[in-house]
Amino acid sequence: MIMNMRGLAMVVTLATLSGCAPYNLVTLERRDLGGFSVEPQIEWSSLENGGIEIWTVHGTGLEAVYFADGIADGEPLFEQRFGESDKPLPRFRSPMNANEAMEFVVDTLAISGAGEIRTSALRPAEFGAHAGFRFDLGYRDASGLEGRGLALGAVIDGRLYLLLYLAAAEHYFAAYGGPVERMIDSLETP
Amino acid sequence: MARAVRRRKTRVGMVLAIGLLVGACAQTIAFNKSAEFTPSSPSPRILLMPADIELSELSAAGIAFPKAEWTAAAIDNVGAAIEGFMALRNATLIAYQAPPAASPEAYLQNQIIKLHGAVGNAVLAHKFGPANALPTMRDKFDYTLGEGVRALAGDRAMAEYALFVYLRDSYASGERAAVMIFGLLLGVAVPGGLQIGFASLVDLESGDIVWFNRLVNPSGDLRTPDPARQTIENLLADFPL
Amino acid sequence: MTRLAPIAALALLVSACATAALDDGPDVTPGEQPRPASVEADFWMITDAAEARIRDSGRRVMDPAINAYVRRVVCAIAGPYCGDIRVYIIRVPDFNASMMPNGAMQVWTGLLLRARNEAEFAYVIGHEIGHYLRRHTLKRMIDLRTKTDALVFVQLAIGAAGGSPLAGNLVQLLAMASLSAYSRDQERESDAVGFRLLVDAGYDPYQAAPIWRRLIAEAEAADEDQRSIFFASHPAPEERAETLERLAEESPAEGDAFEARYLEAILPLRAGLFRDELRGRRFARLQVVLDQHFEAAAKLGELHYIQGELYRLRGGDGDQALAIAAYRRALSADGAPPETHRDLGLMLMKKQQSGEALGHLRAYLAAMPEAEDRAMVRSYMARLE
Repeated sequence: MIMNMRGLAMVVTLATLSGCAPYNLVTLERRDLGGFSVEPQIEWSSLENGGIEIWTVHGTGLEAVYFADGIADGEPLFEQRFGESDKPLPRFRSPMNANEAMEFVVDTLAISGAGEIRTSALRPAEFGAHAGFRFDLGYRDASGLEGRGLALGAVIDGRLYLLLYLAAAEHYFAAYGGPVERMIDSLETP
Repeated sequence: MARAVRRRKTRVGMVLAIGLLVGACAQTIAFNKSAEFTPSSPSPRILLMPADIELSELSAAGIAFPKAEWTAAAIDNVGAAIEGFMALRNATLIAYQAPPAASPEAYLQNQIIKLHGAVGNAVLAHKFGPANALPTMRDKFDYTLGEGVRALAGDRAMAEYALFVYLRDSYASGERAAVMIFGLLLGVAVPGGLQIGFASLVDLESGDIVWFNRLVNPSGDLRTPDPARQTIENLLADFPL
Repeated sequence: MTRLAPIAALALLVSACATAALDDGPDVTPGEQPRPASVEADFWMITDAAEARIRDSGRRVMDPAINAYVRRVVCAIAGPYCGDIRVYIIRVPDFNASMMPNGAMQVWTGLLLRARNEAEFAYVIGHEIGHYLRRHTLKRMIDLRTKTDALVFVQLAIGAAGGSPLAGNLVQLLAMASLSAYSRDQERESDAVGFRLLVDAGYDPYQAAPIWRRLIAEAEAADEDQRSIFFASHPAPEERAETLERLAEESPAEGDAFEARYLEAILPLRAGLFRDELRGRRFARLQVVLDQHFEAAAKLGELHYIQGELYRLRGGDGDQALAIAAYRRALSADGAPPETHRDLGLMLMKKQQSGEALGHLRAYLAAMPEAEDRAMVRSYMARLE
């Protein structure tokens, strides 16, 4: 009822193995993410996984900001990690308009296990010096917990750049929404 | 149903790995939200969430087969042990009543309970052991369900805290015991059953997890009252109330 | 190797004690509850927990109309077992239906999309009820325990005798292959039960076989050798389709397929179900399913739009032109969704056909003034003007 055994067993195992910690501290200085940079606004714990940089405070099941830096034609949003799904991950096609880019992100989330994904308010937005897009989303995770998200992205020189914030709808999305919006305002492209 | 078999094997593999790593003693690690935590009143009222307990039998091959009869006994024994424990501390236990299924209240409360599961997962993933530590949580324990947690107490608001208990335990079947003995004779290590669990105490005003404990124990028996009491003593060690 | 013999003998002794004396017991009776402290009771506990997770999963289709329809068909097929069954429609774009020993039944939306009529759907449900009545899952689980119990002694013996661990793994692999699926005998039993239930409920007996044939065709159409998850646990579909065809020929019964009322029930969901399939990007398989719906020819505008979406997402050589043609066919047929104008407009934009693109984007906004992407569409239009 509370949580599934597999999750518990897996995390307990992870916890008892000693080894290098994969998370690093993100301090308040402007942070270069490759094709763009942001001011973090608060301290985050960061992790690199499958070509994506991930920032969290409490753990990615609760809140996380995902940064995609220059997804090229033919590439998926991230390298498939768990390999449980027999469906192929969607691949970015250059060039994509904003509708297609949103579909690419949403379908990737759906194949990765998010359910009942609802997008709203797809609109033009600045991505540094470039014309980009934003949209909002709602979803449910594998356990049925409601989540909310927002995305800011742009296709620049045929590559996709993305900032995606996903968090539990209850408490966490609102708790970190402020710093994320300020982070978005601070975004610069070279 | 094909998937169920594969999942159980993974689960057991993990559990066995822990058994081999952990050694012979019960280990608990407790986190308190703050050293200065003080209970809200001398006789706090605690909403006791339905304990999530499952007991299994380990087959000769080490696959855990859940047992309904043992689980029912464990639920009774754990309930009695918690009642006894709390009585000694002057705390009042209130049993959680789920609202009618498919009602809006049920949906909301289930979301809070699921959020607790996600928060519990995060605590277990990041606060036990250096492998997965988060720099942002390094020197503090700051996990909350947010104020939406008040929905659990309902209109009555009769409780100040909620207690969640999660336990999984497995016991070697006769055949498994035989395998373990054969193994000893042949010089092959074969693990037995393992008890793992956690307990968390949630402030029903703020939603903060004010206390959290994890238990890993290669021995212990929840099927009978006295050992079950011992497990609860272990699980609720350093309970702040 | 001399040490193996006494260990093997001991192993046999212990295995004999371990095996529950499981005869081919009676079928489940309506309203049956498991005896306390029985293996059945254990499985009810596990599946009750699994059912609770499904209930809260957020993956359920909650629409009352389709739930009422599916419930009606399940009850027609299940007869006296109707009261023991709780049906959950789960939003997964794969063909599957399954029943747990406690009476919880899952129907995946991929099945709803692939059945052509009510009789086909009812047959698949009846087949799963067959597994439930004959307690096949319970028997598989006990079989699993017996086989793996025997294996562990082999592994111990091989390990202790310093033998090659590969041999143990090969044995294990062989056992695993037979453990994850219903046995062929169990499949034959369930086919027979499903067929009998189909006929008894007044459906056309010839509607049992065709869906298996189409699933085989769908699997063959896929470039990868991927069988539906359903086939992983239900082996030998070709053999079973032949058996069901023969049973239909031998049966004097006649009945109806109820195609019209099935289509009526599915149609409100169909676009969403196809959208779920498109997400999976398994184009060859999806084309087989789409062609099946083209044959039924209901709401063709919607189907041509989905065809256009398939071409657009596939994005191979020449697919852009095919997509444009499909969107145009949709617009001149009945029931094309307003998104057709948007997606045609966006495609024409890519080909620099600005005037026509603008017209379609305008038509989209006129039909859907509250569209969630209206701000973005207006910005496309501003660029075109």
